[in-house]
Amino acid sequence: MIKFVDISKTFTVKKQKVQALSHISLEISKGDIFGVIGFSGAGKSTLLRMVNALEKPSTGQVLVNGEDINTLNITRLRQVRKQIGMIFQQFNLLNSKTVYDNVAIPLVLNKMAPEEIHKRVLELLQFVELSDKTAAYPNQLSGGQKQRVGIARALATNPSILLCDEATSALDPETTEAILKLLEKINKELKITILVVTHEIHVIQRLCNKVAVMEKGKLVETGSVLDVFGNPQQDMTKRFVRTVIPDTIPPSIVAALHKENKPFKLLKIHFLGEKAKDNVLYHINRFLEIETSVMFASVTELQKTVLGVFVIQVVGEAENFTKVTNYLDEQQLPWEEVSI
Amino acid sequence: MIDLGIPMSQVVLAAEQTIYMVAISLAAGSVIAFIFSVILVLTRPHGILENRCTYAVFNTIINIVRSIPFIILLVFILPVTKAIVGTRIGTTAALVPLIVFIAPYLTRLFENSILEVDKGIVEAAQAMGASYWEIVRYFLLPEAKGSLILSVTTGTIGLIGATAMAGAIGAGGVGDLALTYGYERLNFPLMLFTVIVLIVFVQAIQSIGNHYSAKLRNH
Repeated sequence: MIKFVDISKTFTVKKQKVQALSHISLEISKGDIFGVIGFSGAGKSTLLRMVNALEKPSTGQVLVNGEDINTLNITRLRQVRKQIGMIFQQFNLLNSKTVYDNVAIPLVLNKMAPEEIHKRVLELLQFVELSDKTAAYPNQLSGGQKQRVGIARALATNPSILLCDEATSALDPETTEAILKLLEKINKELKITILVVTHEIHVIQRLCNKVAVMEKGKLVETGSVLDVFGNPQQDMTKRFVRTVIPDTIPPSIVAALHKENKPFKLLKIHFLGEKAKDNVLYHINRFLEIETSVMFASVTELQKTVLGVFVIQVVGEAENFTKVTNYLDEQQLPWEEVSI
Repeated sequence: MIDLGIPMSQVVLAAEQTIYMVAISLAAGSVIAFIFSVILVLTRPHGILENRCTYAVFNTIINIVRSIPFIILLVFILPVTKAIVGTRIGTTAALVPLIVFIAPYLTRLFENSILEVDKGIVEAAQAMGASYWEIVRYFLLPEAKGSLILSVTTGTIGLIGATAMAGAIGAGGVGDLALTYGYERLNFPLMLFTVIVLIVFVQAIQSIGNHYSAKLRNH
């Protein structure tokens, strides 16, 4: 559906070249809710804006439904843009026009007949649950309501792709949740592929099925949310995931561990989905006859799948530790040794 | 009724001349300024139709015209006035320098008004596949409307000031009345009267401008 092929982008700021994106290749399939996460300045918004050619790559190709978006003439590009909805952090609504007129604009641009525009606008406002705000002006609305208007406007032309540029970053947590629910509904009911750019990991956790992690213009890690969250590989990814799925031992326990005099090692185990139901700890205690205690545990649900992170203390010499890790490998459970 | 030392019909005529000059040069000047300001906004560096050459040409023309004081501009372009209107003197002849004076002034004001529109709006418009004209028509103008009204108000008041000088080429008007009868004939009551009339005019125009601008902005 959307394919980035070896994208690089350099900006010239005050005669200095800045590499905003380097060698990014990514594919977003039909029906995905694809999240791109990174800190500000990571280049994620630049990448998003390449989908509708608001930004052009210095090298590389952006394919939207198989068409190289940067080789299209302006007329064709405008047609393609009408098939791509976009919503923004600052909503970008026209303050001089009512909610109704804001939603109607893309239809007016499409030269639709007034009666049809009327029908479609009411239908859209009903979909985003703003039927009672038809005659209101954006300044009279809350942030969440403004974003709903933005969404209705983006959906007006029945796009196949929806781009969300930090769409919930200006909203409070409760409103964010409501908007995320709406985006989910759009993906499910209207079968629209959604590309989300955000610096908020919980947006990815809550909404997306696939994720790409970006740092300083580079793609650090990408894959399904379950894989990436369940077993993050890169430091940047771990930092993000840690904020929603904690995996570090609390300081007081660390302090207590330092005072222990018997030999032990610490092991972090990730349980994902079905695996989380196996009685792994029981098995280690009972059949391997090794003493363990749980130092830390967290359980989260992702994509309707349970993800558990356990840090356990394995008491004994290195030989015991090897037995446990062998067993975990057998069970195909990802683990790592933790040092304190 | 106080005695102004001249027939009332002369005062009415002067007022008509002023209104005539202001109305026509404002209308023509606004149309020109609108076109110029849109060109400047679109072609400026980082604008959506960035074009250094076009921008530089328009920018320079406006700067040059704006650096000439109106009283000098009035006589400097007399040959042009003659070529266009057929005469160098009179109320209609004054329209040419007035338009040449007010158009670049309004262009700058309109340019600022349009530039005040959030860049995000333009981005949203582009993302919707709007053409350049549609971006101006459906996004920039409606959003800049409140500010544009204030710009026209400022321009109108500037024009009223300029018409006083148009008396130099026999254009008449309220300002000319104050100078020739009030000042040169030492008719203080008439001078005071014209000043009061001008103050009332300007206040009224500013109030109307503020009212409509606020109405649009308070949405």
